[in-house]
Amino acid sequence: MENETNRLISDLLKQKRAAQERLLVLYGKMVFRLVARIVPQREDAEEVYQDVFVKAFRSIGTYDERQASLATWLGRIAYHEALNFVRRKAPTLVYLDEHPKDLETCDEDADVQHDEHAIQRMEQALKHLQPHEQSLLTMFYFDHLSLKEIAYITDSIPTTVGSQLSRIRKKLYRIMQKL
Amino acid sequence: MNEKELETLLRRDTDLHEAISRHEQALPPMPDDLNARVLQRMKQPDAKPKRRIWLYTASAVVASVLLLLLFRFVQDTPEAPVVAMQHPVQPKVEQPQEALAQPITEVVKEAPSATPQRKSPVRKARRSQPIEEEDTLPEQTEEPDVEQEFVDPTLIYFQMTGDPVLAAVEHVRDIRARGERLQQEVELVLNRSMQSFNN
Repeated sequence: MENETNRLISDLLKQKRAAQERLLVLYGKMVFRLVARIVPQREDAEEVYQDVFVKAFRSIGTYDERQASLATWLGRIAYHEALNFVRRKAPTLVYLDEHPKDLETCDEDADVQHDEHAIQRMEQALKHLQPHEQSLLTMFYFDHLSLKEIAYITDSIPTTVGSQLSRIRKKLYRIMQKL
Repeated sequence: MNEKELETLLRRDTDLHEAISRHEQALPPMPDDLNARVLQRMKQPDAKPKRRIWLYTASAVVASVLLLLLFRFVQDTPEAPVVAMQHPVQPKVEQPQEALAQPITEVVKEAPSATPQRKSPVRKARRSQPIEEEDTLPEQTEEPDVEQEFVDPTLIYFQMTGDPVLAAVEHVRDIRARGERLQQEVELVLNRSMQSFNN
């Protein structure tokens, strides 16, 4: 597997079309999911997706396998491209529960019933999170990335990512109570 | 709580895990032709930089043309070059050459003679008004008057040569020749004055 990845990277450095196609097949869906979580419009998400891979093909020489896997490296590019796009295009939206003081008093386990109804409310509450908050939760709970990998993608440190995830969870439960 | 413990605690939230999984499934699927579009885009080199270069080039050309027009407009105004106004030129091709040759021979012919002689008619360029008032050469009365109509000399040379640079060079040469002629005339007058004084 490692040899195959090294061979793929070597061919990408030579700008071989077959290698580019292979990279798209291997990681395309993962990248598209990551982008689509942050960029709401489908057409915009497709545009950002293309930008991500064009950038990846051109900057493959900067990839360092000691820092992260190829998937994580692509995820980092996708995350930042998507966020930059949203910041450039979208107006500033006001999200529910922007007051951190309320979050500190919230005890999510006591107030929420762990049942189907709760899960549905949680799904609704997810829409009220900011794009990067949704993305963090999804990377952790759906993609099963570690705090270290998420830290690399978001250009942060694992401790900070852990704190952010904890805060976002509390915020989510607070929003659920208001819905 | 360290990093590992926090991670373990967070993972325990199975409801959140379920909600996020459902949320993910609701996302639009990736289009089938999207990868083909990426490869197609990789074939074409960056259009944006070329577009920018074209834009910059076009802007530079437009700016140059506007500057040239503005410069020409400024040159055409009466307040602009005083030198051009002082030396209006006849619209004849041979004039500069004749004007160059004659005064030098005239001076050479005049110098050895002590008596004031009638000056042969020489085409002279009129100076501007203030300088003409100060001019007191009585021998010039029989000379044919040069037309005082002002014509842009650079334009005339340009019409002759078709090259603006060459036209400017010729104009400068003409100005220099006139200056030399004027100097010679002044010297001649001074010599005559000295001779008459001595006499």
